[in-house]
Amino acid sequence: MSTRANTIPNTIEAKKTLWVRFKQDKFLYLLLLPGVIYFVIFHYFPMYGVVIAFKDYQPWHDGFFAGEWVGFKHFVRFFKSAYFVTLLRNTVVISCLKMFFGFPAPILLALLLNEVGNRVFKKTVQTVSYLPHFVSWIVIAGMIGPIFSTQLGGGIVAKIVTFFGGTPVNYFADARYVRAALVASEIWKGIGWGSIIYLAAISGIDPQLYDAAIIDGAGRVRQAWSITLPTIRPMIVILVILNMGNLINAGFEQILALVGDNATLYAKADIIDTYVYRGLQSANFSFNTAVGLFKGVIALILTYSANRLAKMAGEEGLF
Amino acid sequence: MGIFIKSKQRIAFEIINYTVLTLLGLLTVYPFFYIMINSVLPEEIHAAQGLVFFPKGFSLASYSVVFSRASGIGQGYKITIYITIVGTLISVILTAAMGYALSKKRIIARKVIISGVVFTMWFGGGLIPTYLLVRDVGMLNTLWALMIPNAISAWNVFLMKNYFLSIPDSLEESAKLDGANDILIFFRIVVPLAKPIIATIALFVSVQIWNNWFMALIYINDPSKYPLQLVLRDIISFTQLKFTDMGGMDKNRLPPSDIVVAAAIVVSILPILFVYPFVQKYFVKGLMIGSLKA
Repeated sequence: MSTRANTIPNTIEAKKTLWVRFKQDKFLYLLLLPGVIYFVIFHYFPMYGVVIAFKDYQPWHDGFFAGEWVGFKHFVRFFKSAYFVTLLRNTVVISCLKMFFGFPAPILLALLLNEVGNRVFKKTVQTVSYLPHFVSWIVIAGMIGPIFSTQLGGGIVAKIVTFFGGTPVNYFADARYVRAALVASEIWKGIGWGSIIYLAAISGIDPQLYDAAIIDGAGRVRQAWSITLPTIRPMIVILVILNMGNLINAGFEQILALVGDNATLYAKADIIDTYVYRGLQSANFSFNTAVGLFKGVIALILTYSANRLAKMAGEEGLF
Repeated sequence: MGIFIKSKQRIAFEIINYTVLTLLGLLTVYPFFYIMINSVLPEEIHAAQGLVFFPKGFSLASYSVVFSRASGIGQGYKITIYITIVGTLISVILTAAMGYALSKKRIIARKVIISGVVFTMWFGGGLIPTYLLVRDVGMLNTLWALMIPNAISAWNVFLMKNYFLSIPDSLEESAKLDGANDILIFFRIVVPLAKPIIATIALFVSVQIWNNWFMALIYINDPSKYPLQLVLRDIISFTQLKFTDMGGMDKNRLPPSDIVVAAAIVVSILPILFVYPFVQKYFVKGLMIGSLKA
């Protein structure tokens, strides 16, 4: 028999099966449809929309198909601008600071909580520690104002600083300290919630491992280093990869809420995203889309690289 | 652990540990406490001493201002409650439907669709294209803009999908043998079984919608449509000008007193504070389910 004679019936067979399958599971496709439409319209179509970064899109244009092509004009303009360096530097520095101080913080908390014998104390501290996670940055901004204020005798922080003989400063309004303030407040908000998964993993460790280590003469620190940390290593790797891509986001919502319109802080705290946000208001659509696209590509590269590095280190990557 | 005698080192460590953790707990709680006691501070004490760090006096005057019409808080609350309920409903229904469908291996192009969803976790159009899209579909300045663009999160779809995958096929198969069709199976068997995951996702989504202010910031111009967080932001940033010494304020509009702002904050977080102790363990459980699957 010739192969051609074999394929024709098979194709008809295959087509029939596809349609039959569809008819059989009509309801399932009905369930699937809204979700797919949603992703296509609100996620994939805007992805196409980044083409306006290569065009001269004007606010009165209808849809992403309008506008004339200008190639990389916007990108070049951005790279050449004096502000580019400031933005990039702020974004990278703030992200790195947050990564360096903020990433280990929940791990440390989990390690410390793990050493607590009293269950009531442990539960209480835990429950309290994740309260800030559920409050929006707006509310936190509202709390920070009075607490760190240096007006009218000052908020509590100013009073404490004066008590110890220092000069009171509103760390959230002073360009010299604002980066530290951003990192610290982010830790404050996230340390409790972040410690949950680490704590769960740590409590799953077989106590006999620790007993064996103690018999071998290992001290607390050695135990933590050789038993606890290796157990949570896979978790850490995954979270690092996830955070790498996020690095370039540098906590946009926080910065918008805490720094907002305070232009005196821009030199040290303005990041790419806040800049693009202001671009939205000024209707410089094409230019700011280009900036946002630049950021998105970097994020992709970072995530991919982190994933490769993790795989090379022997851990399972995310993809 | 197998050790019964505590060495001096261990005792010292434990003292330090308990101290550090207590400090952390206080540090976490104190800002909330601070705001609360200052929200009930009588104005005379405020004018004389500024803000206090332990309770002094008691006055509900600031709350009457907050609850008055002019503050916008009442309207903000209405909007937020509405979008939280409706938005959560929309999100959970769409997410569960998609998650269930994708858990069925017989779906055509299943892998393609799943990859498509995953991809959106890493890459998106960005702020401006998304904004322009919302504008072009006519959602600008409507409450839909607060509920639809973020209606489905890829992460939640996967949580649902994995949960549905864990429901044994035999359940559905025996129902099919009894003559049930897909619709019946979904609503009568699968959904009731999925109550835990649905509840968890509903919880997470509702908190996220409740706290969301950025969407309203960019999509809504009409102040009567501002959700609570945005109303709060207006109140706070207006006073913030005073705290950060910026000057250039509109002299015609007096900023609300710090006490009133504190009351506004308390009123905004009261629901969360009340509900939190009861509900936080479900959040923790939900996080565990999510990360284990990851």
